[in-house]
Amino acid sequence: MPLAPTAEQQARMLDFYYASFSHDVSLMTGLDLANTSVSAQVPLEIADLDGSPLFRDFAIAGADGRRVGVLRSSARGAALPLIDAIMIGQALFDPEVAERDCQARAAAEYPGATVRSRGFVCYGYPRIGVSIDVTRGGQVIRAIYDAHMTALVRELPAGAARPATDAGVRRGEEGEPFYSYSAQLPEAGEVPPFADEWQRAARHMTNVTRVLAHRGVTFRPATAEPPSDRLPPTRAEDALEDFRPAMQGVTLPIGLIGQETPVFCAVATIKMILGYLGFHDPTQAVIAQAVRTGATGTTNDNMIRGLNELTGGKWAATLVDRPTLGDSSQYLGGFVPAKSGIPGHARLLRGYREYVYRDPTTGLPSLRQSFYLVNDPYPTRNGQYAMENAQKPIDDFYRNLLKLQPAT
Amino acid sequence: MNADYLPSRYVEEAPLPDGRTLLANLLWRTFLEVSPQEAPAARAILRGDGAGAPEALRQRLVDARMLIAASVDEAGFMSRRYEQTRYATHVLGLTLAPTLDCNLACVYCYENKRPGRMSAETEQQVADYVRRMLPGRKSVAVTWHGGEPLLCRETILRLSRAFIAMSDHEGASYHAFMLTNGYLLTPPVVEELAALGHWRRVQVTIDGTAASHDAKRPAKGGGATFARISENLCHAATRLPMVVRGNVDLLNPAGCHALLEHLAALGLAGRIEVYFAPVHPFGQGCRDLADKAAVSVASNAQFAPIELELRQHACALGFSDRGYLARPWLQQCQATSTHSVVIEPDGSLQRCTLEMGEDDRRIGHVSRPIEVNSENVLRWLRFDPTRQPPCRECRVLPVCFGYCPHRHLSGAPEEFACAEIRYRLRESVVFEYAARHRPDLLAALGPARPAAAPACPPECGGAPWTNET
Repeated sequence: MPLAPTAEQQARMLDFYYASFSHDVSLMTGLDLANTSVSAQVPLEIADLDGSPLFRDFAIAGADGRRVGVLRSSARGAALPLIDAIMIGQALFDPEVAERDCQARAAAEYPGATVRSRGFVCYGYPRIGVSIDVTRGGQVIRAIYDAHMTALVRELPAGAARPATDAGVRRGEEGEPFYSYSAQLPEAGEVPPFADEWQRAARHMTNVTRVLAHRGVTFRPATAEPPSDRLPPTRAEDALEDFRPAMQGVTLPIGLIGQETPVFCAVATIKMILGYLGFHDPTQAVIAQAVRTGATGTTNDNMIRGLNELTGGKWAATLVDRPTLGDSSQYLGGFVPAKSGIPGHARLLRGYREYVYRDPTTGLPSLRQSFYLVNDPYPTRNGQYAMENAQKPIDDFYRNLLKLQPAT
Repeated sequence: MNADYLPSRYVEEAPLPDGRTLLANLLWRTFLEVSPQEAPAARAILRGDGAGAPEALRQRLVDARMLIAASVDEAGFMSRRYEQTRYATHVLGLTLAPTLDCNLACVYCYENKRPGRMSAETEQQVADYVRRMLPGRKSVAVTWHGGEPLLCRETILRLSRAFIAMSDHEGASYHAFMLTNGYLLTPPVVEELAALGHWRRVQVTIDGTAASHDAKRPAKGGGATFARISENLCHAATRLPMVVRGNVDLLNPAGCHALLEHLAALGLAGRIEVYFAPVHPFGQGCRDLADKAAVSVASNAQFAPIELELRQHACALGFSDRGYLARPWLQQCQATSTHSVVIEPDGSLQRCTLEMGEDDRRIGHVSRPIEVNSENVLRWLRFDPTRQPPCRECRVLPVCFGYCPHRHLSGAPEEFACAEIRYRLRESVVFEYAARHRPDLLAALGPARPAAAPACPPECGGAPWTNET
């Protein structure tokens, strides 16, 4: 497997790993994912604000072709994690419809101008938009529309590689991020930062496939059997069971709450935390006031003060600005959720997963993959569940962990 | 009837309060609602004589697995699952009792209690056993049991650290469980346990609010225990995954309802799991149960409606329901498996926690290989509800998967050997369906409380429940 694979090679590899833990995703989401797989169809290509390739969103689909989720992978090979995130549930947008609607919206909002889509962009992780060139009177500007909400997010001068200010990132506020993901990446060295992970993953897949072949089993046979005939478990399923990873983790039963306004990510996150702790009453408007949410969001200091106030002094929050995966997982092992920050955005951590794969020939651990289970209050009024790789290329990810403990 | 698809053996039909009909497949755990107009045709198809029935309805029945491919042998599938789990080589299950001693004197305790703690030498033997058994396994599950395991807190801490280190080294996952009476689960102890991590469930037993709990679960010296356990639970629930089990007989259902109100008033509804289990007279320690005034045993037939009301009440208060159809699928008791053992304080091995302390039931010692041909091992391996009557003929088998093998092996009468859901199957299925998919129906499923609720005791925070004992 090359370190910059084609989309087809990548889909095959992603499907192998998705199949190894999809039963666990089923348990987490309560959905029957037994017959789902990573689609080999052309993925949705998502660019950075600077125009460079960033992510490939592969559809996760059932045997009948129905899409049940998205697996986000790298569009830069081993420069980014093999599996960036998995989002299961109703799709936030249909790419074709979103692109068409955003263009129509731009045409209406810029009367007399020529509008042309340049495709999908990540304008502030995990937000996805449609980048539209608006040409009027010889002048060209770029308008970024949110793909889910079909609403204008920001205008940029044409040709601008990135916004002049990375809103919500520099000021330490968590509200509505707008920044170039690319610009946050550390300087590239000779070896891509995730080369080791990709190579291990490729080697493990090759070894397992070889052992399966020795047992006369083909992974995902070309002629898929209809679902009803897959019961009782086929020989292939039995064999695959042997190669599923050892699993460890925590999943807290916390329902998703979408943020009510574009800058209420911290507010909705706190709403979810409060509900779990037994404080169901405060509305997002009340919470916003308590945590002093302004036009661009709020700060961690305000969240700490607000959480204490909203729980009647019963719970106290403390800030860990650079938690390790070990810190976060140990904290989650106490079965209390946390607010986690990514650049300009607050989300709820409600669990984690660690999958340990063992080499089929030696029995020794050969690959570890760790994920956080996130209740992301974005998109507005909707939110989404995500299972995100705990290793991100941007240093600022999963920062500013707000841990809660009973006030003494 | 299309010969490719046949009716599943495990379809249960139940009326919904809004007039529609619910079909539930107890094996595949699927549901399908049909309208009053569709119900007769659906019934006809499921009887095998649906000639002329709408094709769209037939397809819905196929999609919902009420009709299954003719090539699928459902009974054979369950037998195979039973064997797969029995002989699974990926997991190692240990139930560890570092002591059989206890600081409580529960009136219905089934255990053959005796003093004594696990020695340092036995601890080492247990660690060596895990080291020998671990290579090649994907997961290790350790359940701390007793007696009261927290009487041996240091043993738990030492062995847990050793197990975690070994699991990490082998790339296996490690999960810990504990059954404790909660009396010693004080905040400092909680902190020590929380620091270990890897906890999946820590179960505390509370049999109602103060009056009924203290009557059934007094301290060894005779004092009340409810207040302290309740206080400990409040803190523990902030650091550990707590589960409350209520043991129910014919005397304390109202106390258990009051307990639910009490826990909800403490703000614990979203964070802890609550479930109820019947008090049964099995195990050496409780053979004189019939003579005890503080206990009145309910058979599972009697317990079934009590349990359903408690679950409905818990659901209304915001506790998550531990539904029969949402529990791990087709998973039998570890006593019948070859990958799990119960370890007594002296390192003796047993198959079943109900037989701890019964010397003539031992299957070996942790320092030696198990004698696989001994009768004490074989009697568990011979038990297979998927092949033996009457279970193999029973439509509830996919839900209970044989229930408690100990009951069957002890020759318990049917009303104790069959799971409670069998006695309230339709009501239970409808409740679970409504709780998960049609919350709008919950209110119409009948009162979650007895009609004549007595006056409220002060400790339950104004809830209309009290204790009967």
